[in-house]
Amino acid sequence: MIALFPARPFAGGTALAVGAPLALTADIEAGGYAVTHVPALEDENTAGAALDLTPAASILLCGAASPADAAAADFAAWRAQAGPGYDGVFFCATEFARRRLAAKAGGCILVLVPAPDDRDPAAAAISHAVANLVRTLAVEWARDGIRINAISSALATPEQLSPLIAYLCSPHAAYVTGAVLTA
Amino acid sequence: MSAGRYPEPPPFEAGFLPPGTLAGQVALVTGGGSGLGLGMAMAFAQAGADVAVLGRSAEKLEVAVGQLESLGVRALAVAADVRNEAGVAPAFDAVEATLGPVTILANNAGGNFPVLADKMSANAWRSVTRIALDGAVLYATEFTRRTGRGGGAIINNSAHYVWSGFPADAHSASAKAGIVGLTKAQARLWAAHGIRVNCLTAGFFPHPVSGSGDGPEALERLGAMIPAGRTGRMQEFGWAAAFLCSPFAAAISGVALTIDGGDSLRRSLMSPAFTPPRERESLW
Repeated sequence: MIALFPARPFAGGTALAVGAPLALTADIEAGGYAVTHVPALEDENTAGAALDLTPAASILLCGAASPADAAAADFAAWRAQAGPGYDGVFFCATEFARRRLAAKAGGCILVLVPAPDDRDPAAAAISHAVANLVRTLAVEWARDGIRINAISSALATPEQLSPLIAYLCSPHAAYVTGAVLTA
Repeated sequence: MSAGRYPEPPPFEAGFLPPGTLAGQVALVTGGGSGLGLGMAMAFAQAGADVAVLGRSAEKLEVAVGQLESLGVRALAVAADVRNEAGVAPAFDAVEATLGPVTILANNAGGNFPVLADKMSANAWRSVTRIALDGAVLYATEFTRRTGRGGGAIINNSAHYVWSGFPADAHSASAKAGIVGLTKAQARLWAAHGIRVNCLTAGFFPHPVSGSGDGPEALERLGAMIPAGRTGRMQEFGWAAAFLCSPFAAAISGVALTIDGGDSLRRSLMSPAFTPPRERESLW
């Protein structure tokens, strides 16, 4: 299968991927973006440090929280997921947006959310929380040219999601913002 | 003041999917003679698919066929009303005979008008719901019957007002929400057949025959009320459909993709005083 953007129309662009499997960004990279991958993070300071690595990034990809362990339903288990999967998404997205606003430039954020699994309280809570975070931020930042969308990580494998991510982050999907894709 | 500027898509002519992505495929677009249906048909054709457009107005269809053929693909007009059960098999037969078996189905046909529910005639109710929902059921089941286990892709055209109610639109608000449920359930049911089913819940995509108009004044007024600051461009809608029906979305099924520039997400805790729909100057 060829890449979605084989002609590399985005050569020269940069993207930051936080806590995302490498395979997720294959089509973005094939389209010409230089992608920096950093591990998942969960506070404002680490988010800022990650963004400092890629000050020109116009795309931010926030990976999904670590796989759920529904059996470990204690507070520590909840925090282990909510840290990177919820707080981390908020801090990364807002740090990214502040920099784009200061630069008077638009941007695009793509968030992977856990599957809305009703048998897993932590994943279910984070899934709905992040979905509505995305819907909220989309409206706050629309007139600034910053789009933000979300994909459920249960839709497909990272390899299979890669073209969808490249599409949603491309200008061809410019009118898509605040969308939360689940199946 | 806004910092950046809401992005515009490339022009249609710039293309999107790698050339020939849908080569060898045959798309059938209901309501394909104008508006969003033609937008999808054009995007399918641009990616190399042969396209049949189905509708009630032979005149509109012929114009659409000309536009599609100018993209270098084969195109066919099929005169039919999606509400007519007896017309479904002949419609597929006609496409098969000329273009080959249908591999992409776009259930797009729809109609809509403002009316209060208690003032809605039975005919008005049926005219909208049977086109949007019954039509989609009829064409999807026939598509699946013919496709067997050969696989294929269905894209349904829903609307962004399915995520809330839509006062004075009981027929379309319910029927288009039904499309979302239909999409998700058929996606699950037909996964084993290799058939993917997705839908688009679109906001404002003005075109020459849209009720909200597509003149400069209408565009400015509509754009101003949308978070994105503009209405959708038809190529954005068409490309979304083409992407979801392409091999690049081979693992994507059961999805409802909202493409509305954030219009369905506008909300303030405080709003102007509520006016019951029946007291409004304009129902919508």
